[in-house]
Amino acid sequence: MATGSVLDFTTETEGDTTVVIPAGRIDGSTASPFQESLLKLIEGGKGSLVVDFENIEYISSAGLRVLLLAAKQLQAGGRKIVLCAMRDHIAEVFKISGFSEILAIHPTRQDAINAG
Amino acid sequence: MKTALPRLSVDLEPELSSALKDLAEAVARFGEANGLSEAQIHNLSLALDELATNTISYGFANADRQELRVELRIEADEVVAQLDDSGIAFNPFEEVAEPDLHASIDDRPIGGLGVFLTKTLFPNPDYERIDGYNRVTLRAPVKGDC
Repeated sequence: MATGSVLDFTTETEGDTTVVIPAGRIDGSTASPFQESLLKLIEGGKGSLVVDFENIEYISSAGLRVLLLAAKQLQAGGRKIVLCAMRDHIAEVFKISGFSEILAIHPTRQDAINAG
Repeated sequence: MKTALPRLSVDLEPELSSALKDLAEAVARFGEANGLSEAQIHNLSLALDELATNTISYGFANADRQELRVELRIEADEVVAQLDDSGIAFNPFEEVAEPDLHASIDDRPIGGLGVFLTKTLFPNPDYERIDGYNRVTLRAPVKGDC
């Protein structure tokens, strides 16, 4: 029996910006390991963090929580988080929760990198 | 041709990873068999995920039994989702504070969003405590956006 699920993701760098490209579902079972990985990347980096949602098919409040935590951490160091390439139903979750007001969301990865 | 599936009931393990996977599969199977839209399937999945995650994470801590069951059914022109659990008595719709949607990144508290998302997607959810079980029932028009 599975005791936890891992969210696969790849990372790229563009100058000082770290781009994270996770794939699959960010829910209560994958959020914890994803949070650990993101916080490590934030600690090890110095620029903005771009999270590309192109391959994310689902996010629950457990995932929103991780992004808020990452945003707080980055902001404390004068850095920011930029999100991009969300599917419509995911963008709707960000809108309902008010997260689209506090987090920058762009249509494409390039737009997000430019904004970072 | 798809088989009609007017009612689907699934027992979920009291463990997040397998419960969320089984829940998502059940909603997708039921939704596709009944011609629900992708948005409806997504919203049902999300709302039930939020409720089940809360139950598994908090509701079973001091419970004698850890039973969790989802039932999906079509009633007239409504899709009905019912989640029964044997956890401690807890009405999520009365006991969870509304989040401040307009707070800044610094002021926004971590958490408290799951129940809010559920209530927004499924207005007027029902809660009952029946014979040692919590029962939450969500309803939406079959042809609606939710």
